[in-house]
Amino acid sequence: MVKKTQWLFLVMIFTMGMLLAACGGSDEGAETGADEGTEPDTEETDGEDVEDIDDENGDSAATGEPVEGGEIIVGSDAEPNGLTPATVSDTASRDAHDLVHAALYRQTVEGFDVEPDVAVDLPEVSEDGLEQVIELRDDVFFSDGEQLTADDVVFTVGIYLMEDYAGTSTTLFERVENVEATDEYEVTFTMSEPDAALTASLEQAPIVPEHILGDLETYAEIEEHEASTTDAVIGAGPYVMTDWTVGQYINYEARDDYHNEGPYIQNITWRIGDTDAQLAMLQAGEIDIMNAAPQDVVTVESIDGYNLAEEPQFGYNYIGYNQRNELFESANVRRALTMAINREAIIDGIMDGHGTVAEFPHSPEGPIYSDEIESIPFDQEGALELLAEEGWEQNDSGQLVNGDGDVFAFSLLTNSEALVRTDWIVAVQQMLGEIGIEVETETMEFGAYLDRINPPNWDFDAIAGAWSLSLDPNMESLFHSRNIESGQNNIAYESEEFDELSTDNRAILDVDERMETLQQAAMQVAEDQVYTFMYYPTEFQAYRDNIQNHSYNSRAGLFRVQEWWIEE
Amino acid sequence: MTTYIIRRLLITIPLLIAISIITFALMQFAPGSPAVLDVDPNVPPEAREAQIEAMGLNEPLPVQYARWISGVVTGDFGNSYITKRPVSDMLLERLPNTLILMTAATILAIIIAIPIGIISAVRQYTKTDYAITLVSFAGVAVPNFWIGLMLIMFLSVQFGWFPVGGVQTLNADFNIMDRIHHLFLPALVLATADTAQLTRYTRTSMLEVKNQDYIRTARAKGFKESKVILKHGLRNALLPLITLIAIMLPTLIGGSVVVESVFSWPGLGDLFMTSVNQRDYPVIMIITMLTAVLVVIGNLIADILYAIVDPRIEY
Repeated sequence: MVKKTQWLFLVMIFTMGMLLAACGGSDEGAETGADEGTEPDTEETDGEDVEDIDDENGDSAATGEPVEGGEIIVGSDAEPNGLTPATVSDTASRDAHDLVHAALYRQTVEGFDVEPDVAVDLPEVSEDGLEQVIELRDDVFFSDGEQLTADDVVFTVGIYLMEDYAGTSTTLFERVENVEATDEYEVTFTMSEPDAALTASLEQAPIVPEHILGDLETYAEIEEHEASTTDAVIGAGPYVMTDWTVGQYINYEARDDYHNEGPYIQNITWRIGDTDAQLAMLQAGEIDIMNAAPQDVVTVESIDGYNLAEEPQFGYNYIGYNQRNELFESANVRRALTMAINREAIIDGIMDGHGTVAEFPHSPEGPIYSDEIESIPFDQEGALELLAEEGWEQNDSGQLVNGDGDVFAFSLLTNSEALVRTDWIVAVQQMLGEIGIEVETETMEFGAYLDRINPPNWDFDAIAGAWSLSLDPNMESLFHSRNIESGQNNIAYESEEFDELSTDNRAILDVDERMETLQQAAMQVAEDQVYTFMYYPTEFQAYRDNIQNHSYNSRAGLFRVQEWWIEE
Repeated sequence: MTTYIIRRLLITIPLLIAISIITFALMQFAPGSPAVLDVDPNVPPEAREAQIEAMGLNEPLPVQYARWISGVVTGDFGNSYITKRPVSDMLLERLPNTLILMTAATILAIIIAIPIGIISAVRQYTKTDYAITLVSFAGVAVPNFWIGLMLIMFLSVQFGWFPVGGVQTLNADFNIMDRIHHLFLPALVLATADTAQLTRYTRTSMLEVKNQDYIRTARAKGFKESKVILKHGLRNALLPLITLIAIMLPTLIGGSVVVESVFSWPGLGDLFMTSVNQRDYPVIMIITMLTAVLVVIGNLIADILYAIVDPRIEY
């Protein structure tokens, strides 16, 4: 009897382990599915405007003077996976990097552009674009007192170029042939091809100390070094990590010798707990700040003493049509599908209105967005007309069939961790059903989902997915035909116009010209309805109302926290 | 006796080997590979192959298994795919927290269940008995994450009597009262199912004893009722319960995965959840193995205790 129960339990543990492992998929993936993308143009959930919806905050920011001191406790559901930026790309790690590290360039407060941080100015680019020289500030120090010099920059970029590099950011510096310190405070990049995205790449590569990691010979050693994995981390950022007690909290202390404005808040504690626990902590007043999920917004709004900042995510959700499938070959058909889907209703009904309809393959706040983009209305009659032109007519029982009598039917796949998407694909199924299209919905665990949609399988009709964008708006990896066979163009979109426009846009060194080209390329994608662009989700951050000059940006957990302060 | 114990120990060896094979195989059969997730699909195939090779994932499964198991046997658990830290370090920093929580839960379960079980038995078929029965069935039936969330909701958030989670006040120096304050709710929730079960067992066991001749004899001798129950009755009723406590171990481990997540308790269960979400196979496999070993040990202890307690059992 006794033994039976124990055996049963063992079996349960195994099954549970397997099931849980199967429904794993990282948190990031769960929310955005963006793990697929670590190419510069589709990278991490990044980038947002900094304006606060909350007007109180705007007011106080305008009137108050920065005050030094105080502490904030931040709720977080994950811990950093590593503290050397080259080795990891998860959200929690990047949040930690923002505090302890500094990069040559950083995101501007106003928008999605870069400004110098450790660098003095933007790079000086040679005429042929093959040499970029960056001058460094001479007043930047690491938290252990050592000065940051060109050697550290060379070492940092060198990690990405190591032969045994096994991190996620392989394409960041793929055009860099050589990087060397041409002076104590001057770095020269020699490029194999011109690269207009270099500064955006450098923004994602915070500088690590050569004097700590420089003696290590392999990438694996760097990854495993205590400065990459524990509170022994050394960086040139506004804060220093004083204590990381795994599973519980991470303490940061303000640095006196930080090279930019701030930091004003003296102590920052990251408190680890799952989202439900964080919400309870917020209600109990135990934490000062947390990112709130859309479904928790109502709860958060009811708590006294906190403000709620909201911003559209720098990324979008979409339905991608596998154009290997002849159903989706025609742009008209894809457009008709978009017309038949009521995106407004999905946002209002399923997402409580926390989103805006997307029409464009980039964010409205990004540098290439165009106001001229035509918005595709919800119009099922119009959709049927378009489909009729393509030979699809409704039969007597209301099914959409072609001349051969084949029914318009396909399966719509998404990953099961993306709870919002698993809901709206059902709504899409119903909406398309209204015009006689038979949609079968399918959800899979993230890993299995990736296996199916990526090369060389491409085993899907249509997918519901999401992309997060990075600062540089290059879209080649998603839509260029050369990325069909092995890249992220898994829907096999092939357009000569797009290819021509986007090919080698990184080599266009004039910013305006490049953005214009990219904008045209993006317009082409929207025109062809490569995807049905669904919506830009809204993200939320709750923060205690005594925090001044708060800014929120989904690219960072605490955006520019060194410039915040606390008013008592 | 000794031969029995030795025999039982020997039997566990093939059992553990079988468990390790199943654990390893299940991780292999789970869809998706850690290498695929770790590297974006845009990476040139050569780079991905290099990564797979670096992780040793391209070798035949038996070779991978042999390497893994020989590491486990010699105490080298490898490094986490995600944090790159040695798995043994990650376990060691969390093990104490889990042990504290499990010990506290066990003690709580015993303290609560035995008196209630006795009362239930003594007042068999009264309203008290029915109430206790009802509550203990509820305790078994209601999932403990829900109980945890409710307790947090009311006791922590509404009334502020207990902290929402964690093992101690943030950045405070070590303080035993503070620790106990933080420990109470998670331990209580973890203890719920076991308390309920143990109450039922105590009741049954006590009822059996209650009708024995020696109890009647004790009563006839004119002992006070409390002495009859507590001294003569309880002692005998407790014997079979000792083994039960050893068997509670599995539910405690299983429960700790949930309870630790709900209460942000930095123990093994919490680590297990995190690792599963990140597909950190080396960590998942070791924790599964560790759990299996603990269950086998619990089983062993139970059997041995049985043997000691009840001399009628033959080997």
